[in-house]
Order: sequence, then C-alpha cells, then structure tokens
Amino acid sequence: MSVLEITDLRVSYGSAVAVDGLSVSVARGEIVALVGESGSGKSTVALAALGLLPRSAHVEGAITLAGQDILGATAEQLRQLRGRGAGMVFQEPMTALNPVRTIGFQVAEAIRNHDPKPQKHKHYHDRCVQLLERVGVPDARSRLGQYPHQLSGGLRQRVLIAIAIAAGPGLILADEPTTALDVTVQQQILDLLRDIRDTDSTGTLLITHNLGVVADLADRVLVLRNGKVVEEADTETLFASPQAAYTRQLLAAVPRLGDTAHEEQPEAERPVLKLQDIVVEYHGRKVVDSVSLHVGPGEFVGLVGESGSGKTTLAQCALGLVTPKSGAMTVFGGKLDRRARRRLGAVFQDPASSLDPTMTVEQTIAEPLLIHTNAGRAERRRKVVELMDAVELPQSLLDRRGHELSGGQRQRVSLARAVVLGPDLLIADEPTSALDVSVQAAVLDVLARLHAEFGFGCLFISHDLAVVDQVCERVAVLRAGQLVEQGPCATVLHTPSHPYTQALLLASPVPDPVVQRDRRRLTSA
Amino acid sequence: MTRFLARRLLLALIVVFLVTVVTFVILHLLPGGPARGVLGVKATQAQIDAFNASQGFDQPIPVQYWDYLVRLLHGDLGASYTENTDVSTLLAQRLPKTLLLTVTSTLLGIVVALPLGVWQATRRGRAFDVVTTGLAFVLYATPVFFLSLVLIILFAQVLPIFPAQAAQGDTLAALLSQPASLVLPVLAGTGVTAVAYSRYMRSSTVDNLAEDYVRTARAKGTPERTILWRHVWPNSLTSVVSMIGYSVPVVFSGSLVVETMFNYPGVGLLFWNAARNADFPVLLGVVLVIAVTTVLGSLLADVVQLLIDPRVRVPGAKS
Amino acid sequence: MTTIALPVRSRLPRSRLRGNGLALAGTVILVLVVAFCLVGPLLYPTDQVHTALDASRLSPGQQGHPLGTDDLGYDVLGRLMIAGRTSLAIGVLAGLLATAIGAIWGALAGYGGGWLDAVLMRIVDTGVAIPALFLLLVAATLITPSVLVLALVIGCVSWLVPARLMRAEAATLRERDFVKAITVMGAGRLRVVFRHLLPNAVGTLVVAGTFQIADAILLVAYVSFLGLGVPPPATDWGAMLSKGITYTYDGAWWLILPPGIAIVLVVCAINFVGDGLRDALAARGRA
Repeated sequence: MSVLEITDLRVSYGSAVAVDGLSVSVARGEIVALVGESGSGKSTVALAALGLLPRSAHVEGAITLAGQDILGATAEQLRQLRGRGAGMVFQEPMTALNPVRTIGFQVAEAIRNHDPKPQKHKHYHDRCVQLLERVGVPDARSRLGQYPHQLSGGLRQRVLIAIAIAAGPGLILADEPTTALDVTVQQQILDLLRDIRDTDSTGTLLITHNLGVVADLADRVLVLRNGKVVEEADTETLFASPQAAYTRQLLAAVPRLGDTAHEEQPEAERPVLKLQDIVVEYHGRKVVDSVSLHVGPGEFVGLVGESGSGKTTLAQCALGLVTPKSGAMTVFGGKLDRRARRRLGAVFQDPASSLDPTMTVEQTIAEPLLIHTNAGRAERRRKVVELMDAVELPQSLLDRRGHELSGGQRQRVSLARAVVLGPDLLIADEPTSALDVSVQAAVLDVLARLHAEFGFGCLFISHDLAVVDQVCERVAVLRAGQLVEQGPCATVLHTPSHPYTQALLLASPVPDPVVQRDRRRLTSA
Repeated sequence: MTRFLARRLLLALIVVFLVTVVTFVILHLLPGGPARGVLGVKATQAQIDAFNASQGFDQPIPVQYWDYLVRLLHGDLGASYTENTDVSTLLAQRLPKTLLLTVTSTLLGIVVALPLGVWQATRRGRAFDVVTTGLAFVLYATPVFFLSLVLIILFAQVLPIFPAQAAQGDTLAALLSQPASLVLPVLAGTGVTAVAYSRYMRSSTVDNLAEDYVRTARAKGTPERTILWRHVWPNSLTSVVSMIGYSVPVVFSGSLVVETMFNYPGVGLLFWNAARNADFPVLLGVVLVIAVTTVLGSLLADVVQLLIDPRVRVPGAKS
Repeated sequence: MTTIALPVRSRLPRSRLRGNGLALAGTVILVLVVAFCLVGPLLYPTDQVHTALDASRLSPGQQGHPLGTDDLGYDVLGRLMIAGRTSLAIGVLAGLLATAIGAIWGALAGYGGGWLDAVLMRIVDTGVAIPALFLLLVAATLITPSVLVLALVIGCVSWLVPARLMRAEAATLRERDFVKAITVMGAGRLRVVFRHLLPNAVGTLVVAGTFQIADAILLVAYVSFLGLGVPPPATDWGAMLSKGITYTYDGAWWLILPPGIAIVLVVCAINFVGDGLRDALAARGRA
C-alpha cells in the first residue's frame, strides 16, 4: 500500500520549470531515493508533497499522501496532514530549530499539533522523552529543558527526526538529511533512518545528491536531471548496470578510494611548506595541538578531518591568517613575507563568495599581476587568456561578473587567479566540497592539469577521503586538533593503522550497495 | 554570563568617561572659558583672571580635568548663567517631569507599535499593511513640532478638549494634578516612539518569517497564528528590546521639542531656554545627564537581552 | 533637472526601481519639489528681501498672493520656494558629508579590527549617547550660522549612524573568500579597502546616504524652528514654521501648513526612494 503517490507532477515558477512530469510512489516500509545534482528539482518534490511550496509556484499533476489529495486540499486539511501523514526532515540542523525555545517545547508541539484534545505542554513530557530515546539522544530527560545551541549538529538532527516521527506518520520526507553532518555522524543518522523503517514500517522519500548514501540506504532509486526522471530502478540494479547515459556519467564522476595509482615519492629536501609543532589556542582550548607536517615541492598533501578537527585552522596558519601560539612555520624555507606571498596561491570553499562581485573575470585573474609585477595591460591580458585556456573556460566569459557564472565556473576562475603568477605552493581549502559531483570531477581534472603545467606543491584540505585519494600523494589525518596518522595515501587510506582512520573509512559510504551491505554486516557482528 | 555583564559595564563606564571629556573640552572652548560658568556673563577680565588663578584654571589641563571629574562626582555641575541656582538643583527639579513624559511615551509606544508591527508583517503587501505603513511613513517624516502643532490645532482649538499647555509648577504633583494637560504632550511623544518601534518590529518579523525554523514549524502542522506568536514573536522581541534600549537619544530629542511646544516644565524646555541665552553650564549639564541616561538605557537593554535570549544566558555546546 | 539629489539613480538599472511603486512616486515628488524650489522663483518672482508691512498677514487669494503673506509682508508662496532652497541645500550637503565621514570611519574600524575597531567604535558610542539635536544647539550658540556652516555642523554631528552601518558591512566583507584570497596572495591594506571593501559597500552607502539626507533636512528644520538657523532675510522651512506658530491662535493657517507639509512631503519622498533602493539592492544581492 503506498503512502505517497505522485503522478505527472509539474512545478514551474513563471517560465522556469523546476519539475517536469515526475511520477513516483512510496510504499510502507520502503525507502525510495531521489538522486540528482543541484537544479534537478528533487527538493521541490518533497516540498510539494506537503504543500509547502511558495505561492509563486504553479503546480500541476496529482499528489496523494496518506489517501488525501494534496493539490486540492484546504489549508486546514494540509495543516493536519503535515506531521501526521508525513514528517519532514530538512538539511540544515543548525537553523531548523527555533533558537529561543526549548527542545522540550518544540518536540511537544509536534505531538500536540495532532492531539484532538490539546493539553498543556507538560502533559507530553513523558512522550517526548520516549521519542528522544527512540532516536538515540542520550540523557533525554535533561534535554527537554535545553536549547538548540547547546546541542551538536548530529544531536539536533536526531531531535528533528524525533519531531518528524512524533505524530506517527506513515512517511518521512528526508531532504538531504545528512549533507551538513560529519561522515561518522552521518552514518549514525542513516542507521537511525533504517531502524525506523525496520521497526515502524515507515516509508521514506530520501532526497540526496550523494550516491554513497543512496547505495547504503535506499531500496529503489530515481535519477533526476533538470526536473525529469532519467532512470528508475531498484538500488542494486541501478548501480550494477545503469541504463541511462546520465546515470553512468554520474557514477563515473564519483571519486572512489583505490581508483588512483600512487607512485612512491622520495622524501623532499627543501619543503615548500613546513609546519613544526604548531599549537593554536582559542579561548583556552587547543584547536590545533602540536601538529607537524610538510609539503615538498610539487607534492600534493591532503589534510583530512571532521568538523572541529582543526584542519581549517591549520590551513589558516599556513596562509598567515592566524598566528599560532607556539610552533614554527616556514614557507619556501623562510618567513611568509610579501616575496613569499608572490609564490603562494589560495582557493577556498564557497563559490558564492570567492569572486569580487564588482570585478570582471579578467580583472579578477589579473589582480595578482597588478600587485606583484609591472606587467602592462597587454601583457596582463595575454596572461589571463593563457590561464582561461588552462582552466578550460571560454574567452567570452572574460567580461562577465561573478553572479553570471555557475559554481564550477567560479571555482575555475578562483584557480586561475591562484596560479596566474606560477606559484610554488597552493593552499586549497575544500575547493570542491560545495560543488555537484560531475562539476567536482571536472574541476579536479583542471587542478590536475594545472599541476602538470606549473608543478606547484599543494596542501589540499578536505573531509572527503576519496577525493584526497584521487588528488594527493600523501595525507595527514586530524582529529580534535591532533595529528592521528600521516603518510602516503596508499598506506593510510587503504591499510590504515589508527582506529580513527579506520572508522572514518568505514563511515564514508561508497556508491556500491553490495559493499555497503557487507560493511553493515561487519559492524553489527 | 557574568563575563558578558562585566564587559558591558566596563564599556558603559568608558563611554560615560569619554562624554565627560567631551563636555570638558566644550567647556574650555567657550568664549571666556569656565570662569564665566561660575562668575556669570558680566564678569570683568580682571575678575576672570583672579578667579582662574584662585581656582587653579591656570593649572595644566590634565589637572583641571581631574578637578572637573571630582566635582562631577560630587554632583557639582556648576551654576547657571541666567538663573541664580546650581545646575544640579535645576536638573533635579526638572528631570522627574521629563522622565514622566518620556517613560510614558515609550511604554505607550511599545504597547501600540509591537503588535502593530507584527500584524503589518503578516499582511505584507495587502491593504492593511500598505495603509498603515504609509501612515507610519508620513508620521516618521513629520517633525515632532509639526505633529505637536497639528495636535494643538485639532484638539485644543478646533475641538477644545485638551489644554494646549502643560500645567506649570515646580513639583511632579503639580503636573499630575491636571492630567488633561498631559494628554497632548504624551500623544506627541508617543507619535515619535510608536512609529520607530513599529517599523523595526515589522522588518524584524518579516526577516524572521523567512527563517528555517518557521518552515520546520509549518512542516509539523503548527497553525499559522501559533507560529507567529509562539515562534516568531519571541525571536523578534530579542532584537527589538535592544533597539528600544538604544532609542533613548531619539526619545529625549523628541521630548525637547514636545516640551517647548507645550511649555512643559521639563529638562527639554530648560535646555531650549538655556540655548537661547547661551547658558553653557546648564547646556552641558543637560548633555551630561542625557548621555548618562542613554548609556544606562543601553545597559538596561543588554541586561534584558540577557534575561530573555537563551543564547546569551546559557553557554553553548562545542559542535 | 535632478541635479541636486541622488546621483544614485544612474547607477541602478531602472527596471528594478520601477517595480517599486512607492519609490517611483517618491522620485517624482522629489523632482517636482526640486524644480519648484530652483526654477519656481524664476517663473514666479517675488521680493523676499524687502518687507512690506502694510501688506502683512493677508490670507490666501488677497492682492494676488496665492498663499497669502506673512507678518512681514513677504509672499508666502515665494518664500516657500526660497526656504526650500536652503533646506534642501543644507540637507543634501550635510547628508553627503555625514555619509562620507561615516563611510571612511566605519571602513577603517571594520577592516582594521582589534584595538583600532574598539577605539573608533567607542568614540561612535560616545557620540551616539549625546543626541544630535542637543549637540547642534550647543554648536549653534557658538557659531554664526550660514548655509555652509550649518551643513558642516549637521554633517559632523550625524556621521555616527553611517559609521556603524559601514563598520558592520566592512566586518562582514572582510570574511568573504575573495578578500581572504587576495590578502593571502599579497594585497596591501589600502588596496583591499579601496578596491574591494568600499566598492562592495556602495549599495549600503547609497541607501544610508539617502536616509541621511532626509534626517538632515529634519534636523535643519528643528534647528531653525528653535530659532538658531540662518539669519533673516534668508529663511528655511523650519524658520517659516517658527514664525508661523506665533499666529496660529489667530487662525493664520497659511503660515504653518505650507512649510510643514513641504517638509513632510520631501522627507517622506526621500524615505520612499531609500526603501526602494534598499529593496532593489537586496534583490540584486540575491541574484
């Protein structure tokens, strides 16, 4: 019996079509995944199912949730269905909870909304504790009086799941529920969702861009592109023998551990970057605790860790943005002065703020030339054109500004700006983490090409082990400010010695349902 | 939490300190200098010189400033040029009356404006919002003295309901004995506060309605009215409270004008008369008192913030 | 025609402003008012220097005075135009001055951070603690008022709010990746402030400037109303009101309503335009 039945859904905003003729059904106890990149329309589907689209959306088709027609429903009917027919879990646990009301209030409200005879909030406290325990929140009773900012991201997401299932719905709509979480926490949340399905036979519509998550959790998969369904199959079939070209392309773009061959690298004589026993404190707490690492000339070194590991802070030290409390740092064998900075390039994570909105692409890439050289206008243009070719961007974009470019294009311009002076060291802080999988693959390709051409060393910070394996020769693993393991990728990422690294590897889902199932068997045994 | 309060207190003290520096500097830039402040306008140069020597005004500046500070701390704000009294006595007389006016206007402004701002936000773009926002715009653009004029004309002349002048008298009781005469001044003052507060409340509410937690509340089936009053309102309130605390200077400016219009015997009227007569000790004394009140106001706002915003009250977790 | 106000309008695409009806209405009103004040006296010349006591306090319509005359015999309509020139001139000059000072102050504080930020902002806090009106009156007793001096004084008293706005903007911009990237690659402070921070803050500054002009016009009106504005025979709307109230009890409404309405109209219109600019800016930021 299906809890959600969508037929020929079409959603448009003015002339822009977000969803174009989508049909999907979710049965009790079934987990169906909607996979796609940004702009594929997958989030729109979930919002439409609960009637949560903005007034400006034009919706056609048919949606039936728990037997009730959504598109023709009144406001009150919709309100009653939200929470009782289906519960929704959103992506950002940090902002999805009201910061000035207690956890107890917000969970109790979810129950009370569907109580035909609503009582005072206190009346629901026992049930709240039950719910919180069900989703694995430790010290549940004491949490009732706490506020969201007192909980970690993972705990908040658990609370949000508790809120979603509070009224006992037959369906959970999960829109990128683990994207904002660390890999180890993500694993726990995925396990929780699976457990809820096993115990209560709840159906789940899982929306995600992460193929590893799909392989781990879903029973059936729909692949979306530009609002249309490109392929639909059960999970094992889709991953084993994808039919559509787009699906194959997507699967090929996902970086996998072990795909890249690593060559043995000799120990570098004169490292371009050397960090020795760096300690950074913040409010008395050690954010980076005595970490040492180095980057040899032309060498790509990965720096991995979860949030709070100190990897970003360490990168900021290397860039001179943060002063360590103790420890030594040399860049090109000396201090990080203006001359050293000429040989340094930096790329950051957020494409939205990586380019100055008031500058054209040409001006952006040429700026380091203006700062460090006397190159005239003609020569600057020549150099810029050269770099545009290197990052594979058409010349027609030279006069455009940031907001006219896509995320991937912006990151390429960032890279061009970073290497225009032919640097010897590049610091890349999560440069592709905010990009879609296929765009990421293209940008990483460009990075490899630039490396071949310019030969710079690179400190590559990421939370994604597979990307680091693909791009780097050596890797350092950080945890809570401490260096846990360091060495060649071939060793650390394939036969790790430290239990934390092993846990990290196990927790990162791979786009292969068979492997994921085996892992689950291993961990539960 | 105590660290937050301690820091705020320290900042407040620094600002008050800096204000005394400003008033001291102005006092010394005056034609004739501080001697005039004590001896009066008619003093001769010889008298001034003698005074300067005897009072130590020929001392180096830092010493003078120290003396000034000490005098301030003893409540000595100098003597008025025109009246035959100490500035501090004048202020002590007048301040309670101004406080009566400003506090009442503020409270009324809050009572009117906050719910109004919320309603405007929920009916954004619709008739109610457009009309009230339009009216608010007009009121915001209306100088307080014009508003007072209009009120006088309408309610004291065309429809003679209220007196056009406030009751005179030295004590608070004298004022309160004729409550009808307080109505128009308070209305004018409320015009200032209500408009500013409702504008801010409206934009704060609109911003909050776009937040993620509102979407979560809707997704779990919470009725719109509950979302507004039990989710959005407490969030808007925290920022509005601090805005109210920081609006003290505006309220005082308003009261200055209102008092002159209605001949209300408060600090504002005192200031205006002093400005017309170049009575500097009074002018500077008032400036000092208002500055201190402003700082107190913002400090109070911070304390209330502490009480109602759990993010400040309770320390967060390491994420 | 739009020589005085808002060089702003040429920067933003017309289409976005047009979407906001109130802003459009405001612009139209401003254009009309500015024309009225600048060109009016040329089309409708009246004597605003010599008194005509035998024709004083005539009600509108008498002896060819559409809005009557005041206590010194000056034609009110003509006086309204002349007064408007003063009010607008001081308002615009002071507003622009306040925004300029505030922008630089705030940029230094927001970008500099640390102790520079703390010191500069404590000074701003001190200034805020003393209401502008009070400072103005003290200043007015010390100086001889003229258009330029008044504009200067008002500007020097009003720069605090733009300073706070700019500081917040600069502090946010400082954290943007493009600023970090170019700083790391060797850009000096001056380059960052002038090539990256200020250009990106232009939108905020323009909006702030608009509201500053409105506030300055109000402040001038207050100061003049309290008798400390430009000396006669020059006048501005506030001074007209001040003279006028003496005669309200005699029913001479034409002495106070025209200047009062003029002030309200102009300040309202400027506020509409400012709000429209702010909305357009927010929309562009999202695009």
